[in-house]
Amino acid sequence: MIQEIISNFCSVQVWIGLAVGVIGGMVVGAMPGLSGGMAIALLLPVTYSMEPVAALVMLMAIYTSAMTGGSISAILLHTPGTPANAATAIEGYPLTKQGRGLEAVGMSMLSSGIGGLSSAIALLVIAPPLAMVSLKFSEPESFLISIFGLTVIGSLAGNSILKGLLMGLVGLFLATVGMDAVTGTLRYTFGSDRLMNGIQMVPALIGLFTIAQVMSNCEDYRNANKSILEQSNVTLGKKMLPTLKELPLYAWTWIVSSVIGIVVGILPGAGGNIGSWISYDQAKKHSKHKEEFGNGSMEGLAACETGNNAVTGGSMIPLMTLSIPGSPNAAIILGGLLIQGLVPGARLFTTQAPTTYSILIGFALSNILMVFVGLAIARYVVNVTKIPNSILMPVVVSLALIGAYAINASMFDVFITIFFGFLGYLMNKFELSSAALILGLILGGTAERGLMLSLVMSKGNVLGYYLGRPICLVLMALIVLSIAGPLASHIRGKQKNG
Amino acid sequence: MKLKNIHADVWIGGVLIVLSMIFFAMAGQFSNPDAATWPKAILIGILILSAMVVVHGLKLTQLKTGQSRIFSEGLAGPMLALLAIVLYAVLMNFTGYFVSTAIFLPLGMFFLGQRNWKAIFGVTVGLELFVYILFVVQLQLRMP
Repeated sequence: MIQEIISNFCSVQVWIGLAVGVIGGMVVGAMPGLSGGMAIALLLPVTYSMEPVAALVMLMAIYTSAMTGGSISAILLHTPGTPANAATAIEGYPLTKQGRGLEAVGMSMLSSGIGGLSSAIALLVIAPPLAMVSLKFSEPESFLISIFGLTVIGSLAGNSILKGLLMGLVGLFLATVGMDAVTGTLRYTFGSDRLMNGIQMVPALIGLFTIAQVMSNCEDYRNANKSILEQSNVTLGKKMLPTLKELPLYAWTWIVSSVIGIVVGILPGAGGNIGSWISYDQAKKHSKHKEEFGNGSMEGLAACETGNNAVTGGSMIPLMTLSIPGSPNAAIILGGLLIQGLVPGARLFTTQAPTTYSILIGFALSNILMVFVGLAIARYVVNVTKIPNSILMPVVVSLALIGAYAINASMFDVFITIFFGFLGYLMNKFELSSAALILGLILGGTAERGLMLSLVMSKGNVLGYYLGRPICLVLMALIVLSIAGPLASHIRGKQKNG
Repeated sequence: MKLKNIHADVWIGGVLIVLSMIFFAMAGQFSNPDAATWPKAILIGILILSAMVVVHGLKLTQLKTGQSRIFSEGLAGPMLALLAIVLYAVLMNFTGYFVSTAIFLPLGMFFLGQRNWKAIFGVTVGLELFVYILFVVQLQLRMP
């Protein structure tokens, strides 16, 4: 296996994927209005013709690097590139105003690298044994694990759990379009051959995450030509990295924030922003210099950047073992895995182990490379935030449409992308979760197949069949808990607000 | 009650109720009834949740708090963008990617307020070159 992994890394494509992922992710992350998810969705069509390792390393590198790139604009321009960098801006920008901008960027890169690398190690250690559990899975377990995956919606839904669940069901319904895998019956194809294979996931993803974002950005089209951000006039300072003597001061923050980020990542639905805020809050509570928080605390900056990047690897653990995405971006990466024929579960760590471990090592490498690339290009990356929407938006549309076309060389997919873009825009506007819909679309096939086949296998005694299987009992308990948890906190929140 | 003052949730729930009823009826006509079980179960779920969203929306309409209107201002830009994207795709279907992009990109940038012709020309040529190298040369894609 080691030989295969080494030979995978001898491929030029893997290194190009790594470089594109790290640099591209950082640039995209630094641009407010563009997100890592959008970039991952946009690049999915390109991965069709790539080697599996190169493709997945690129997508995962974008995921982690976009979060880091977002910290650059958060620190130097007080504009978080991604929602996960909101806490970073609170501590980073005051540091820039104090003339310590580069030092803050250096700390951000270092902390992001440590958080991301810790999560990659956790992924390498925790994922393989957890994946072996899935070996004991049959159809009833597949059905319940899909339903468990759908309970993530409670966390992805935003303000309204009701609307989130509704969108999850709409996603499940959309997954029924095409030929039924069990009976071979055509459903909702309206006589079109092109819908026989169902709604293609990648065009839907590009539409929901890329075109919808472009449409949102066009709401303020009269100001589209104005540079999003103004040039910062303060000096950035010369020092970039903490000295060896200073390093131990941050060691505990890095460890605690890494653990928090990984745990938050494993929990379904929680994204980088939650990991970042919890880490920041913990650092503030236990800091010896609480007075610095809010006025430019290097410790606070280290905590939130470690926390948000540690979420990336953490969210890949349930994804690669049980098909449950830990975050919306992980849900898009699930699409990338399936494109390459890599189905989450035990097979990833047995027959496909060389490929999987190469991907995980590539992910760890991307976190290391990210630090060096980030330190080298940070001050130049800030300039990309000055590209106005008037240039950016038409280019993104053009790339999105040709990307959607490239999957099957089909203009039909282009129109599907536009349809989902329109749908995604309306959903964002009326607080309906796109992530919940995509989760339903992804898990719908597995859930239906699992249910229908287990109904046949149960020979009429469905309840007895399910209750007689220990893993099913555990999964049912988990489902109840994961529904009750967000519901209880929602009710508590309502009671608090009167 | 004026239609424009009705909370968006009422419209959203209403549309989903109508659509789910139509699709439910369609499921009854599948050649194999077993294939309709799962879609029907989901559609019943959508019907119930949509009805709850409608009720919630009606309450919000009466309270007139947190009003979210379906016919809100600020839709002009996104709808124009959608129209432009649809026209671009239709044009792409007839003239191919490179010709349609050479029209869409400069017009799109100009419409959004860009007046630097060097930038418009440079970005258009640069993107076409990039797509040509990546999709035609590298991925050997049959372009539209």
